[in-house]
Amino acid sequence: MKKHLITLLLLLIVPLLLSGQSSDPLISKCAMNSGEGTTYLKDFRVQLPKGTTQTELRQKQVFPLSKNMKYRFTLCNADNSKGELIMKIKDNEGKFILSSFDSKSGKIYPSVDFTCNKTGTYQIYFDFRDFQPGLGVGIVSLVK
Amino acid sequence: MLGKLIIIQFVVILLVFSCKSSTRKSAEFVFPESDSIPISEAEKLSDEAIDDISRNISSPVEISDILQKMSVPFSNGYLASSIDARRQSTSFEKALKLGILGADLGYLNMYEKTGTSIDVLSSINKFADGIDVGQFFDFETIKRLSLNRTNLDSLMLLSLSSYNQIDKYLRDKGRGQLSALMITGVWIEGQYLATQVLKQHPDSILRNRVGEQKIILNDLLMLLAPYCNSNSEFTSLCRDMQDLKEKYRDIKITYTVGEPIMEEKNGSLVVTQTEESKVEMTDEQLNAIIAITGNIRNKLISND
Repeated sequence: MKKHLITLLLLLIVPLLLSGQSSDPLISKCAMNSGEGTTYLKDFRVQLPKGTTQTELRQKQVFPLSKNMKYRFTLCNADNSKGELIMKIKDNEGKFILSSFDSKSGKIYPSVDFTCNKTGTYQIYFDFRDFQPGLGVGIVSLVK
Repeated sequence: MLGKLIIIQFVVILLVFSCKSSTRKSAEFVFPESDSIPISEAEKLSDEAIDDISRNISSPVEISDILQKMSVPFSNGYLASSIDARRQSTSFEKALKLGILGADLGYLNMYEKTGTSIDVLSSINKFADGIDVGQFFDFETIKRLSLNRTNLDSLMLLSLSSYNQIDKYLRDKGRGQLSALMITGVWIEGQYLATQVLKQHPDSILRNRVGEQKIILNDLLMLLAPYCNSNSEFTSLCRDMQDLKEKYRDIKITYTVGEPIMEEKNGSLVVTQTEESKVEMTDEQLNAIIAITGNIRNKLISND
């Protein structure tokens, strides 16, 4: 009887909890993985086919970042994504700021913390490692 | 013959000097505002170029974070309480007020005043329905999360992502003018919040934040520019925003060069920017910005 009651309660509560998320489950899951003490600011959904002749990361977004703010970029891949999401940031003048992919070691960082000291509009580039096809999401959060 | 030679020499000298002067001009420091596109040119901006202009819906959240770090107490007085969503209004007003209330919602949520945000939520819901984007604003769920105050992270995610979705949908459906208005509403309310707090709580970080808005304002004006001549409401808004831009004209933003420092911590990459932006703004300039921001924002929320 107790087990049935718990199951019934779970059936009632779980949908309620899930409905308090963004409409895209991948975005919700990734935002919730950004860690404690962070506040979601923006998501970038990335879906790309296999690239052939590219040398630069293919999806470009722009986003303003402000001085004295610490941002966290969290990168997540869909379960069935073949490629692994990577990201590169340049400032407004095209100066390289950071990359989530270390080409020397081949390491991909799923999370990057950036302490911004120059207010401006930044260019955020996304792609999948080796220009593989894939589906993923990049979340920008504020670290409090 | 001699006369012709003199004329040729004169033309050559004139050309040489005119080239020199243009070289000197291009070597001058280019201030962010100087490279802004005039309204007449911006009206010709392609959709792709407009997509490349940044849109920041989260700036009031960042400002609220600064206020909390400054230990500034929450105040209802900063909210746009006079907005009445039951009044008949145009799409222009609805989109603009949707943005203004979105900023207020961010401020309320950051201060965990979620129980008192229900009126704001109801108005947001009405304005969103009024411009046919209500499907992106899950009023019932946001209201439930606000009343329960149990899951603030979900509340912030759902509120902000709703606005991001509305912005994307409006642009995708060729209703960029409403998206530009919503973004303007968010920005002006965030700017109002920051400037009003500065009047009572002087703080260097918040002051710099207000000064640096010169860069963001430039983007915002480019976003609005294609619609400035579309009707009288837009023309009036653009004129007000141009007046605000005038107040920012002599504020200097300089940069010191540096390379980012990268290190690995607990499997994550941590990057600190050493390049720095610095704002030079006098008290008179700040006071002028505070005054004009208040005037524009109060005009936008008035029910006249």
